[in-house]
Amino acid sequence: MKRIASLFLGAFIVIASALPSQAADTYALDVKGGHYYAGFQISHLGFSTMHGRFDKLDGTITYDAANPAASKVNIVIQAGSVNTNHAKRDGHLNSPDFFNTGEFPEITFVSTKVEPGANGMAKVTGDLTMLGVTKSITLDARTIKVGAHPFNKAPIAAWSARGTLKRSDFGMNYGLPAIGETVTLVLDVEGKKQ
Amino acid sequence: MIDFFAHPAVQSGILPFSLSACIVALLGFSGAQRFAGLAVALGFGTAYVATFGWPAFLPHTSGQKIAYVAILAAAYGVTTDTQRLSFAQRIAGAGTLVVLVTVWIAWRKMWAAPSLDHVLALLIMGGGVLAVWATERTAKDPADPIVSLLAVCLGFAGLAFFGASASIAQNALGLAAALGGVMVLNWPRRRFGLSAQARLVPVVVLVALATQVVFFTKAPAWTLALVLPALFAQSLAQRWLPADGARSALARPVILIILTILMLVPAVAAAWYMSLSSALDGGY
Repeated sequence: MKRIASLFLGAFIVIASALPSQAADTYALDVKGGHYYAGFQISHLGFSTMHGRFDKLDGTITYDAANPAASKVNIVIQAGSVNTNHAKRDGHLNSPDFFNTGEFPEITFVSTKVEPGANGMAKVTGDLTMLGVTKSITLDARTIKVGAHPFNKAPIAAWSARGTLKRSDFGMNYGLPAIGETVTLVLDVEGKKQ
Repeated sequence: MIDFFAHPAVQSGILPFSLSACIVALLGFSGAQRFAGLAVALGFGTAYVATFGWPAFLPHTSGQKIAYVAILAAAYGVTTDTQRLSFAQRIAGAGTLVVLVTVWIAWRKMWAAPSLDHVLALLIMGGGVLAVWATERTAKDPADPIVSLLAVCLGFAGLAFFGASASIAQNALGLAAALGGVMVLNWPRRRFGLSAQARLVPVVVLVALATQVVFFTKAPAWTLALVLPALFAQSLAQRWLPADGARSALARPVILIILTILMLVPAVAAAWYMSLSSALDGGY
């Protein structure tokens, strides 16, 4: 009797693992592999567009293919890793004038609502916390691909998101209006299934 | 017009200087002399709003707290002037304010296990109390502490600039300009506004800015210590300062500001040297 029960249990496990997953999967950002980009763009005195990025971030994306509205995003950016390809400007961006990283070392984004659209698109609304202020922002996101890595067959997925914010909403007022008020955010990430 | 007010020289120079001078004149000549020293707080407040916008009602960042620090210092200055507090009472009250401001600005660092940060905070508090003592003790000329503070604000701005924070530098320049506005109405003839209201706002705001510099910028903290002796320039250089009469009223502030600025050269030079690799470089 005990052997029959073990047999049934083993068969159940084999069958269950062979079926396509219906539950949400959690993907950890591929930080180790460097497959991530968290950037921003801002007007420099009304002339050029200045591009910057954060070199250190981490987080998870819980993706529910069957019910994308149940998906969740949680990202933590180390503000002190800001990189604009100019050491002196990066020092200034770290100062209390802008990201004030000595006082607020992290920028976080936690999704609160995902509204699926067509062709893998979705509007991801979430709470962005920066400089001690939390505001709701909406990102236009796209699921690029979910599947197995072509070589090692590990399950991975990739997303891309764009959005804008007004920096004064977060109390980052220095240099306004000469240095742009509207900041464009760009997030391109790849995650490994946990 | 927007471009005009967005220029740092206007925000932290022309605007606070001219507004402070106008307020001193308005209050002084309209019979409200005892409140003329508030021109420093109002001039600085204008510079602050022009640079950063209105501060948040509930300040989140150390930078947003600076505006409220100025208001608190001005309120205590009015109390000091109107209640005729003794020297000991003035030092005790302003010293308490300095301690509270340091803790408030550095709150996120203070709310942690004991570390070097707490020692640095104690040193800032000590330096602040020393600055209060240096500026509140009886001076031969009531303009002496105002002039010394003006020069110290200029030196501090240089130090903050090399510490990679233009906004802190602008705050210090805004203070210097507001003090300059008060001095315009008091040079060569001393008229009004040279009161605790005018002295305490720059001292307490400088303590708050020093706390920001130490904890939230890359400026080496020890360079700030080199600023303190400048507040004693009037005592150290007594022999070169004319003591009485019209010649003194005319020449004393000029000589004193030059001497104080000279005493600040080592602090600014040290900050510059220490931050050669990370100092702000305009034009990027």
